Order: sequence, then C-alpha cells, then structure tokens
Amino acid sequence: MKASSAWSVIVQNVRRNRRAFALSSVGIVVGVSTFVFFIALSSGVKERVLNRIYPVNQIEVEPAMVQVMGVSKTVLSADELDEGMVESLRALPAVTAVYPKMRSRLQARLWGGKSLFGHALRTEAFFDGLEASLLAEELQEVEGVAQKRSRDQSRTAKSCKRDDECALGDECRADGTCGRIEYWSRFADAQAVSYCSEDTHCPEALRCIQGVCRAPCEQGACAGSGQRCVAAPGCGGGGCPAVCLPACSSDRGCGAGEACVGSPGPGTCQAIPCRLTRRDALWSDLPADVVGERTDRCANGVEFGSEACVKESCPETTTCATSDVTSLSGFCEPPIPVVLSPFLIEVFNTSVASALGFQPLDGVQALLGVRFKIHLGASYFSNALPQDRQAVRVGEVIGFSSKALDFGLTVPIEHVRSLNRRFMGREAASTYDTFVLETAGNEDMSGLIAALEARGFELSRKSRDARKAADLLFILTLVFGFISLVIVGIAAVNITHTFLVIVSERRYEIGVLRALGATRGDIRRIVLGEAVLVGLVGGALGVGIAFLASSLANWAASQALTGVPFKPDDFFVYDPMILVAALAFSIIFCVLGAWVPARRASRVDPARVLVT
Amino acid sequence: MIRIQGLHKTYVDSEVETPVLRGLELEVRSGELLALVGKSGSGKSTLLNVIGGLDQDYQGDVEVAGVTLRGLDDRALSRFRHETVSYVFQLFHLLPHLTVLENVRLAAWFDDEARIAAPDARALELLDRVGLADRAASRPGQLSGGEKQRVAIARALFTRPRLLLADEPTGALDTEHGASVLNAITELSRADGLTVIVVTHDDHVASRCDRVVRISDGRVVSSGGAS
Repeated sequence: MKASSAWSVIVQNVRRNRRAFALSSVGIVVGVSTFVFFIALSSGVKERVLNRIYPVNQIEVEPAMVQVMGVSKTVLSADELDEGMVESLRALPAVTAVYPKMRSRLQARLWGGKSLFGHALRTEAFFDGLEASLLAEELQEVEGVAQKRSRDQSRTAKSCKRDDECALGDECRADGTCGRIEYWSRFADAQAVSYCSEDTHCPEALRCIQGVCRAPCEQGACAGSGQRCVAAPGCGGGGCPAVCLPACSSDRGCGAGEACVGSPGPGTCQAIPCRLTRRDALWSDLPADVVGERTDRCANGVEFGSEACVKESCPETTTCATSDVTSLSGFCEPPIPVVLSPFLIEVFNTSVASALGFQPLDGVQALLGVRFKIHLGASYFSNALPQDRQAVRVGEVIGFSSKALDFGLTVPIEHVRSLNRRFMGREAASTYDTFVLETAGNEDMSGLIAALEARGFELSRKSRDARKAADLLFILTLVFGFISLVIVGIAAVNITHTFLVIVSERRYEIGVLRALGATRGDIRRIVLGEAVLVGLVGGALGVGIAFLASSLANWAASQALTGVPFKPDDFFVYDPMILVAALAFSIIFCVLGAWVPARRASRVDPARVLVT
Repeated sequence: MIRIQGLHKTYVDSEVETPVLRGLELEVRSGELLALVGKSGSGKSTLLNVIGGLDQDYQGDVEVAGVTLRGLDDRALSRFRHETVSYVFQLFHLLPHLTVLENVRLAAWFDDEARIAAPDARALELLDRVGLADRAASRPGQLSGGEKQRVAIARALFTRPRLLLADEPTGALDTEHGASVLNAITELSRADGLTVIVVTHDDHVASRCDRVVRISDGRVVSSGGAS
C-alpha cells in the first residue's frame, strides 16, 4: 500500500471516529501539557532566575569555617588568598575562569536619594569589588541594552559635542553622535586618581607624590611607551620629583576628569584638580559639580586666582571629589559605578517603603543614573578616621545584578583595591575574600567542588542556595515529569480500549480490504497510522494548552508580584527540543496504546467475517 | 483456470472437529460461468473461500490461474486476491462512510504497481456499465439493495480480475432486483471473458449458468449443464 493512499485512509478513519478519539486523547492532551508546562517552567526558572544568581557552570567559594573551642575560624589564612591563589585556582582541571571578589576593609557611610524620596537616605556603606567581565552580560540584559540598540537603529544619529545637546536619556558618545545611555558600560575598572598620604597606600611600583600615587621617572625617562617624564603636577618650587604621565596633544586624548596639560604641543594627561566652594556640600545633597570648581584654570583664560577669573566647573560626566574633608580639595572624577542587588530593592519595596512612607520602586529606569555621596573613612557605628584622611566621593547606580552584595554596594574591583590600599595599606589590597569559578559545563562541577573542599574552600551562601534551589528544581521537574508519564500512561490504556472497540466495529471493513488485496501489514499500518495522527494532534493541543497556561501564569505573576523588581516577564523557556520531545512522547504513547488493537486488526479473518 | 484435487477442510471449534470438504475434486475452464449448488453446510462457501485465497487452512492441491495457493505467504496471497480474483458477497459489504465512486475504486489503495492508470475514470466506466453512473456521489445508505449489489459488482470488476466469486449474490434481494443483479453478472462476465463461480440456492440463478456443480457432504456429487 502506497504511503499517500495509507495517509488518505488514515485521515478518513480518524475524521469519522473523531468523537471517540477526542475523548480518548484527553489524557494525552493533559499529560503532554503538564509535561511541557513544567519542563518549560523549570527551564525558565533555571535560566531566568537561578542563572542570574549563579549559572550552572559558575560557583562562588570562600574559605571553609571550622569551630575551634566554640570559635569559628577559617581553614585558610587571609594572606593565602592572594594573587597566587587565583593562579592556583585557575590551574585546576575544568576551570576556565576565576573571578576574585574583594570586600571593603574601611568604614564608609552614604547618603542621597533626595530627588527620589523627598529627603536623603543615610546608611552605613559596605563594598564588594567584582571584575567587570563577570557582570557585563547580566547588566546589559537587565538594562535592556539590546532593545535600546534596536530602537537606535530606526533613527538617524544626531551629531554632538556635549551631552546636553542630546535628547533626555541620550548621551554624546565618543564618536560625536547622540545615542541612548548605556549605563552598564560604566562598570569599568578605570580610575583616574589613586589618592594616598604615604607610599604604602600605593601599588608597589608607584610612590605617593603630592597626595596621588604616581610612577616616578627612572633617570629622567619613562619605561612605558607613550609616557612623558614631567614634574609632578601640583608641585610648586624646586625639588619636585619627576613623574611619568601619559603623553597627549589635546584633552580628547585623555580620560574623563583629565586635561592635556602643556598642549598645544606635546603635553601630558593630568587629573584636573578642583575644590568644593561650600563645606556643607560634603554632607548635603548639593550636586558636587555645581559647588565644585576647577583650581587649574579659569573659564575666561585669565590666570587662576586673579579677580577677573571666571570659575569653571569640572568637565561633563565628572564631579569634584574631595581627597580629604578638611581642605575640600580633590580632583574632577567620574562617579564610582555602583551595582545594586535586586534583593535590596525588594526589601525596600516590601518593608522599608511602607515603614517610612516612600513610594515603592519599580523597574530599572527609576534608579539608573541616581547619584549619592559616599563618605569614606567615617561610620555611623564605629570610630571614624582622622578628618584629613576622610574623603567624599560620588557614586552612581549603573545597574542591578543578583551577584551583587545584598546589602551594600558592588563596584569594580580596582576601586575597592585602591580604597583598601589607601585607607588600610597594601596588605588590605592584596588579598581576596571569595572566588567565582567558571567551568565549561555543569558536568565538571561536582569534581571541582570536591577538589576545592580538599583545598579548604566551601561554597558561599549564595552559591550554596543557588545549587540547592537547582537541585530542588531538578527534583520537582522529575516529579512532574513522572506525573505526566502516569497521566499519559493511563491515557494510553484508554487509547487501547478505544482502538479495540473501533477495530471490532470495523471488522467487516477490514475483511473487505483484505479481500481486495490489503496485507496484514497494511491493516496494521493503517491502525498505527491513526494512532500517530491522534498522538500528533493530541500532542499539538497539549503544547498549545501549555502555552496558554504559561501566558496565564506569567500574567498572574505580573499581577501578584508587583513589589518584586526585575522579575522576569516570562518565567517559561520553550526549547524547541522540548516541543519535539513532547510530540514524540504523545505519539509514542498513542502507538503503544494502539499496538495490541493493530495486531488484532491485522489478524481479522476475512473468510469468517465476510461470509455469513 | 481452476484445478482442485483432494481438498479436505475441517473446522475445529472447542475441540469438536467438523469436516466440511472431504476430498473434493473440481476443474473449471477459463471463461466458464459455474453455479455451485447444494444444501446449507455442504461446503459451498468454504470452497469459494479456498479458491479465493481467503482460507489457507486446508489439505489438498488448489491451483487458480496457474498459481498454486498452498504455501503462499500473506503478501503473495494478498497480491493474488488483488490481481486475480474478486468477490461479490451476499450482504454487499460496501463501506458506508465512502461514496459509491470511492467504494468502487477501493482496491486502488492497494494498487502499488499502478495497474489501473486512471482509477476514477475506471470506476465511473464500471458504474456506467451497471447503470449507476448518476449515483457516483451517493452514499451506500441512499441506494436500494439491488443497486448496492450492482455497486459491489462494479467494485469486484475494478482490478480487471480473471475470476469472480459470488456468494449468494441475489440471496438478500427480491426477484426483480435479483434478476437485474444476475443480468449484470452474466453480461459483464461474458463481455470481459471472466470465469465466474456463483454459489446459490436459487434454481433460476443456476439455470443461467453454463454448468451446475452440486456439492453434498463435502464432495462434488454431480456436474453438468443447467437444466
């Protein structure tokens, strides 16, 4: 029997028995929809919730704690957790990347948010330093960078020189055109100024010169290409040490907060010095760029300090950061890029906002770009450092990440390293607290965890919770998979019964077909083909119902979880392979159900049924 | 056309053995119109099933159109039924969910070698020959008994068989319809040079055949021209 003929017979037969098949395939539809719904939910939660905390191929480890005489101690001493440890972890089999995490070791407090809440919030500040590459992908996703770029493609780029020439929400980019602000790109390690008061506040190769860590010239020359040996900036009179600074020909060749000093002609990039004009600017919400002024030049070109001098603000994108609170002087610097944990916003929305009468926050847009002051070296809870060692910097919220510190600020690791060194010395800046390890796949993870435990590490709380949640999810997926299997199994029994009845009803017809030349195989193929069609239609319906149910669940989640920020819009991930597997699952069970009836049909004796 | 030697057939039901054919011998010439007569239970329909390849559980030698049926596998036997032999049953056995035309061209489903080039045209031609071309789109339920049997005859002739086996073709019809069906069988078979074996209890039907073979107790007891 040709396939085309068989197909037309199969379609005809299914159509005329559609009511019986519809009833018997209800179980298949329910089983397949349950299967698809829970597998897609499991994949969605794994990919869009758990993977944001730690993907399956990433773990965070910290030194294991042991109890000695009732006191908790770490197995590894702090000085073991240095760059050498990073290298040794990187050398472990299956490890493809290691991201060290450094915590702040200085006291700090912050205040800000008057524009959002009506009055400033004040709190103690804790920092975590992370490498930018670990967060880049998640920051882009949360900020919706892909959507921004696709919107940008549909409009003509406007040329610009300054941000204020661009529309609200846009910035003037390096290529001289306006484009949407991409806050995530500000999470970078680059830092213009590393403050110090002695050499130990600087990296090994640098010295503390005029309150800033600088590279001294070696015999009047610089080792690095593109650098020039000049007298230390800000140093008046003789005996000024010579330092190496990047060569430039104009301001555009220097970083944010730097000016090309000595141009026109060969110059060097130097941090722009500035001073706050009002002491209360340190402790208030007054924007530092409004109350800060440059101390290296005047806007009208006259000598700085003369009466005719028109004061000039710090360059765009920078603010006047004080290096100590007594002198109010410092340098023009970009704000410290800060990433917050969504959990922090959740706590704010669910507890703080109602207790203090604030509006709950929702979405990324409300907080991105919000600036606040960070008072370094001071604390609400412990003794502050001497005033001449305290400094005030500006922080800017540039994104949200589940890997960020739950109650604190997460900043590029170089900022934490620099601050730890300045306030607590080189030792505090050379050791790490935890390490995020990445492998090529999840299958390598168990062996790696065992190897790390042998070296005195254990999973961090967050990583442990993520793995526990992943295990729980796996078990739940198995349970619901099993339930789907039982439902479809029962449906297969129902399918068997339906086909047995149908085959019995069609025995004369089968006899006629046999008399006209149908082989036993033809009859079996027709019945099994009907089962395939019923399975296909039932499976497709099941998938469709799962889609509807997931849309309904997403809608219900959006209504019920109003206080939870950054929740996924869609909790379900439909892998095409799952859909194929669901259809195969449905077809296989229908075919299994129809197997015995098909065999029975093929054995109908035409001589017996046709001749009465 | 047909040569049968020493044909034995026994039905076994609940360990009770009932012999039906007992060493039956028969030869049928090509193009012959043969009537098989005998009492109920004499083995006529059983003989028809054996000749048509519907029943293989027997002893003896049966050769039809040069094919020895004994030992053929299911595929070869199905092919034999498709190409060489066809049936007309007492109760028509038309498929009620198909139209008259679709019933007639039913065997085209198994025509793997495309022996019938234009199945619809062939089916319409046969319906025209049995006088039912105008009922091609009707369902069997809309036809009279005589019309149903004529459709069954058209269906039987669709594959251009060499042997037509008719089991009580007029048994379920009144005299008028029975006559029209009998006319159709005799005329079409003679026109196509078909060999026809008709099982009947009806003397009038037997009288229209070339030869009448009487079976009794599983054996041929007489064979001769219709009288």
